[in-house]
Amino acid sequence: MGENSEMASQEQQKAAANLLRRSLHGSDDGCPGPDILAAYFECSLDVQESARYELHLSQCARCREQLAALDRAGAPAEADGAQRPESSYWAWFWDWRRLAPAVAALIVAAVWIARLPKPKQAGGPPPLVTMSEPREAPATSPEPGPAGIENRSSPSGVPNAASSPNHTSNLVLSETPSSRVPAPPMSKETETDSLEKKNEKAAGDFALGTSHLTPPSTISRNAAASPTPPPSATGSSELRATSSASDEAIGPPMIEMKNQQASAARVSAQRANLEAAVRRSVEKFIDTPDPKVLWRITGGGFVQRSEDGGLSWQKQLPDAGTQLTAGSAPSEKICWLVGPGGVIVLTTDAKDWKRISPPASADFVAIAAEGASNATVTTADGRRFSTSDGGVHWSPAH
Amino acid sequence: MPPRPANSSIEANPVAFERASPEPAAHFRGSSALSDVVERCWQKAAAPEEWNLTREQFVAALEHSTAHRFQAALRSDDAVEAYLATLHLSDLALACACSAGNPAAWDFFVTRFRPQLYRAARAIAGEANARDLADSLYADLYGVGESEGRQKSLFDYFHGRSKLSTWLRAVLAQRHVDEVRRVRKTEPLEDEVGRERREISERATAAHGSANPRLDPERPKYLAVLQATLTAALGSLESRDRLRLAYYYVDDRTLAEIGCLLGEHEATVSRKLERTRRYVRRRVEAALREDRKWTEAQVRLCLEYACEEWPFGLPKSLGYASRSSLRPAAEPDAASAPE
Repeated sequence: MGENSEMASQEQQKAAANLLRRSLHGSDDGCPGPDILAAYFECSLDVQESARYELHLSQCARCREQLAALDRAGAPAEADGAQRPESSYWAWFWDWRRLAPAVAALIVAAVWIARLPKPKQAGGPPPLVTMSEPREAPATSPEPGPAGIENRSSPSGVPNAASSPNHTSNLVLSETPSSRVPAPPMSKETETDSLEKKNEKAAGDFALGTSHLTPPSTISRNAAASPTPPPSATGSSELRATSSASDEAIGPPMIEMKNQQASAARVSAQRANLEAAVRRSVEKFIDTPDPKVLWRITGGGFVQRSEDGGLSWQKQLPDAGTQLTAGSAPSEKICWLVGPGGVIVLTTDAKDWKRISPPASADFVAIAAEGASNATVTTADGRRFSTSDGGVHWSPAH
Repeated sequence: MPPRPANSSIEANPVAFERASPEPAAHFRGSSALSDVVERCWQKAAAPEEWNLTREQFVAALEHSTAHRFQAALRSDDAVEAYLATLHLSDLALACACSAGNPAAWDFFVTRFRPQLYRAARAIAGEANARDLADSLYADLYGVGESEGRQKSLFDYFHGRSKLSTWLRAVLAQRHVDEVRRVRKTEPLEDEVGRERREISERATAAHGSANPRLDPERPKYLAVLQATLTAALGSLESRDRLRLAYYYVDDRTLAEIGCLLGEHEATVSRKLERTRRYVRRRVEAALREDRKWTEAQVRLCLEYACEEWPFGLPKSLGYASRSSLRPAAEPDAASAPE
């Protein structure tokens, strides 16, 4: 009986939707372009325009699908921290004035638990409260939307803070010092990318109220100075509480953290040097035996070719999404190009490019080619590899 | 090497990108007041020197944007000034410089926007299709493709009305949706509606039988009037209320999803949907009783037919009593039959 009524209700809802769909259906004519949709999404249109396009949106499934896709892409945190307006309810809920007492109580409880006397363990110091770097959201998951919207999307409407990766507890109670969880090493990202990600997360955290003590701009500066994970609202106070508990107990973790910071700084510096080299290579010319035929690396993975000595240029995209640092053109139609991340591409007809398997996963900064088969590449750390069969096989060169 | 799109979005959908964009008139040059405004815009854009962006190029972009906004409508200096104040000038300057092929500008764009572009593509199209989606846009931004016999950058279609990052995501969204719709080969809604009507009619006939003495020959007219009345009631709604209904009933979105799209809390969405449903109900009742001069019995009969014809509880969804609680309806008076 219950199932029948539920099925009837579902049928009713479906049929009601069909009727309203018929009534609400319009046409796909007059769809606004991406510039209007983007402005509407940002609430940048004036009142009259908004009303006009909302009427169209109510009749056009195509445009509504585009808006939904745009919303899925999320709003990246901009430098000025501008975000879509939140609902007042979630802004109220995540207000720091309401979260601060709860957060303070959590900190006190954590410190109290940490200082509780434990039964003696064989040769072990008291357990520690350590910080672990918040796990970043996996690449496949959609970017968290503007603050509060992700929480609104939970079926119950209740903010599911516990399950959000950004809200994963940063507290790790370790039983023995050997099981302390170190912060994972900084992945090899560009300094700009890492700052961008941290700013996005920090801005999201900031809006959600979990890092109200550290605004995104401050986090950005701090990250640039010492690339540590942005502290959560509990993190900074917690560190202070932990350090005041026992300097000897937290000494080794601090040293380890400093070592990791130094290592991360070295990686960042190396990456910055490479980025600088890439920037310097922008608009690098590659000569051919014919003085009228030139290649030009213009940055962003693009190259241009001229057949009139540089008066006009044809744009080409050897491999989208890659960067190019150097090239060699042993003839008018043959050109080798290399770049960071093991990028080696070759064209033998001045039009179609193919990717060549690199001899090593390294950043290539130079290449010297004698033809379509013979070439020698140089890596950023000075290693050289040669091929005589067009990149099928490579061997170290002296 | 990623395959070049056989039909780049610029060529496939030129209307969406160049919707009635006439040659930008030299409006700025003829107005001294606007000249000051334009100069302030140029200063505010603050394009770095290495971008080699000239003032003339930037002003041309401003004129193009203004012409696109106002099109053939008359535009006062005040309206133009107010419009220029809303533009994202630094992004517009970057787009101009990239469109001109300046390497430093491209380097800046790649450093700042390429990661966002690929992340947005993954969020929109999923991991499998993100790369192709982003690569095709990337190529069009650079102007690898040709349009009207010359290499044209997609940046030419950015008018500064939104942030450049949002515009890029909108372009990605448009391409993805168009591709999905092309692959899906969705039937036109009219065909679906026609098929549904045939199915509903067949069901009603089977349920009642052709020999049913109670089958009212005016029944189709009652239903047609109800449909027309409902359509008129929906047409009187505020565009935002209508959009909210469309999201809920046509797109089958949850309250939370609608809230995300409209920037409202889901409780607000629910409250406003209920308010809209009550409004539609009142309008339908008023139209049937006052405009068409139907009696209460006729209104009830119409709703009863609606319940039978469309077994979805439309009256129930609008708040009417269920069919079982309705008193037996009187036969409609032939003189007052619906027109």
